[in-house]
Amino acid sequence: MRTPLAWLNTIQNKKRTATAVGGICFAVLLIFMQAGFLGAARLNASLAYRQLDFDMMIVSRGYLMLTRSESIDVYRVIQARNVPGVASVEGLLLQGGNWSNQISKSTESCFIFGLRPGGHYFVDHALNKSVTHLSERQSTLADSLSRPSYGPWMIGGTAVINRQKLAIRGDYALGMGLLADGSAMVSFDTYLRLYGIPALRRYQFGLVRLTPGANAIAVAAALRESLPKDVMVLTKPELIDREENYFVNVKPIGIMFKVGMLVAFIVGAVILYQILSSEIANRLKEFATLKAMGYTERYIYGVGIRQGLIFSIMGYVPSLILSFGLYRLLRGLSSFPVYMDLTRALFVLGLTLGMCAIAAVFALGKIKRADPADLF
Amino acid sequence: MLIDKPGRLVLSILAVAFSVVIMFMELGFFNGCNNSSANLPPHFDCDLILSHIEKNHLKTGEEFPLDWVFLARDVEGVAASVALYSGADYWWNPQDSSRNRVFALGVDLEDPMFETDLIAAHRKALLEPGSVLYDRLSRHELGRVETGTVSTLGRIQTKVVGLFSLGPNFTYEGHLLMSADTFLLMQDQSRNVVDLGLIRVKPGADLKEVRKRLLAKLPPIALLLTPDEINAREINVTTRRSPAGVVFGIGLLVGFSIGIIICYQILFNEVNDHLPQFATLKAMGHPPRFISGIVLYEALLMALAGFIPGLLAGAGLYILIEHFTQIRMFLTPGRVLLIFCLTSGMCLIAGHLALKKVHSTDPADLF
Repeated sequence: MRTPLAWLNTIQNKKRTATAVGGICFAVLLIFMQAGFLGAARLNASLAYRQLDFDMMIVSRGYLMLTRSESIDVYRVIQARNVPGVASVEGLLLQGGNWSNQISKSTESCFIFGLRPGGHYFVDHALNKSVTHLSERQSTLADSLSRPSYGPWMIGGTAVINRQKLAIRGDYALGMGLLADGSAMVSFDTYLRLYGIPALRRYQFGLVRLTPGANAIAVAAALRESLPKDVMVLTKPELIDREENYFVNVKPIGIMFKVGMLVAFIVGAVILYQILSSEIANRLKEFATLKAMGYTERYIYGVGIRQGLIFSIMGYVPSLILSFGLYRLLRGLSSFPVYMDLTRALFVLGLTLGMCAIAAVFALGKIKRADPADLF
Repeated sequence: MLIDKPGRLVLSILAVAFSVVIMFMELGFFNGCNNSSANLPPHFDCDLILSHIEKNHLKTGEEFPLDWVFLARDVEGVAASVALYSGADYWWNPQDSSRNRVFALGVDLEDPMFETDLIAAHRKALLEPGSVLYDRLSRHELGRVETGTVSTLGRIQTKVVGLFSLGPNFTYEGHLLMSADTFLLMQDQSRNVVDLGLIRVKPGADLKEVRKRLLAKLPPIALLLTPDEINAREINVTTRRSPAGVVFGIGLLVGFSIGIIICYQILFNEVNDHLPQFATLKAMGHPPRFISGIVLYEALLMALAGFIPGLLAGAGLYILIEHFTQIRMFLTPGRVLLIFCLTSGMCLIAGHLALKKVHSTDPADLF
């Protein structure tokens, strides 16, 4: 059996290995953290759209993002219903409002959704059922993922929104993350009262659902054709894509997360290289001895790279576990949707392995130049 | 001893420099987030700011009736009391007519108590309904705007009659200043609904006494704060309550701990490699203090050598982020000093930890 040299090298000086692995672990953790921020910023931007059940959305021409959309004429929704292939179109109202914390007497930002009681809006059927309860005057559904600054509230209690008392008839889990402190859902009628709007003439969104089997591209084209140019028609993937890109590429906070991610990558790579090269430099004599003994260069490189990989896996595993904790901490403190997903875990793993292998190759470059005779 | 292996030294310094960059970056994000959301208070020229008690941030929250502003005028020791109207609306980009949210302030032209000199300089132009002052540091999404640009704001046509400097924040892409009349026209708001009251105290009057008298006269739902107190509260609201503050705060902490660990890693290797030399020194009869001195001196040198490129790279990074976001990232001497202290602190801690090994070795064991 061949001697597992890379492994023996790793475990020979345990303390030293522990420091190196610790360093790698933190470099990887840094990458996880920034990647988590960026991923959460993306997810956060499209959170509401992922819960709404629609194939296409009618939005205003000047539409920027969920919380910055202008209104569309109610007739656009009615007009869209007549397009072949369209099963139903629901109007949706959305505007920023104030939720009063009744204990601390402070007002918190709150996005208020205005819905037609009985309308089919959400992917979640239980939630669609709750929406029917909104037909009662001055009633609301509260967001269970609202920030703690909303103060205590319960189903059956009262909420104060825009200084009006509303009966809380149920709840749902949405969470607005970076966009606002929380949200609430009310009926069209309650919405109009909350904002003092005399009559329902404008919606913010029109949710289009297609008949089964309809060709989405063809229907979208037909909708664009038949509706006036003051609105845009976006399919669900288009809308989610646009929303995430707007937040990450245009809003300052998204850009900051992006820069943070880049810097974390560079720093992580440099740290890994630093650790591995000093590790390999320490064994230069041994590698040179192997060379003098007649081992091929390929074998020596193999040992170095394998050691790099062992280090990176030993550093990756604890940092993966640590980042689960870090994400949980972040979610608890900020209601920011930072979740670990398989893609991110694999992506960071691939990156770590790649960086370690490259660092090992660079560090081993010295061996090529080193003459065994010079070393002693 | 440091320059013994130049290649290695460069790597060590690079690693210290990078941990400095991480700290600068996280601190910059954290402060950029705080400063940009508390960008208004430094521009107030008043002694007290009156608001509704439920208004917990300058840019959102409850309004109050104009009566309060008049009530305050009758209180002894108050020199002047004026209303300030504020709110967000859509700004049409004059080039491509895309729309973005801006924050607008409507001031009393006679006695603004907000950017007084600036308003005084443009007073005549601002008297014209629809004329506004534009923040030249606004985000590029708002378009190229100069004095004379005509564009739509909310429901009215506006003309830019001058520029000022404030800077955007995470919520609003830019800021506009205008007369109270223009503001009310734009928002279709009643003059009776006021966002903030600005109060100036008579010279020589005791601020605390005046505040007490004011609170006695005003309804219990009134809140009086000085601009400094408002500033502290704005930062508190962002750091504690908004997820951005929390996220960047945690980033800052993780950045610091990573910096310490990296420095320790480097110094430990450094000391470990020179263990025979240290042991020799010990065997030669040098006291442990001498050896500690060498290692700590080495640690400090490394901190300094790593800090300078780290500072330069950090400054470059700030410029880059400012360019992309137009969020102002201030590199104040205080913050530079803070990071420097942290860098040398962590190098010293790391050096100290690494020293333990030196002291525990017996020279006889090494050879």
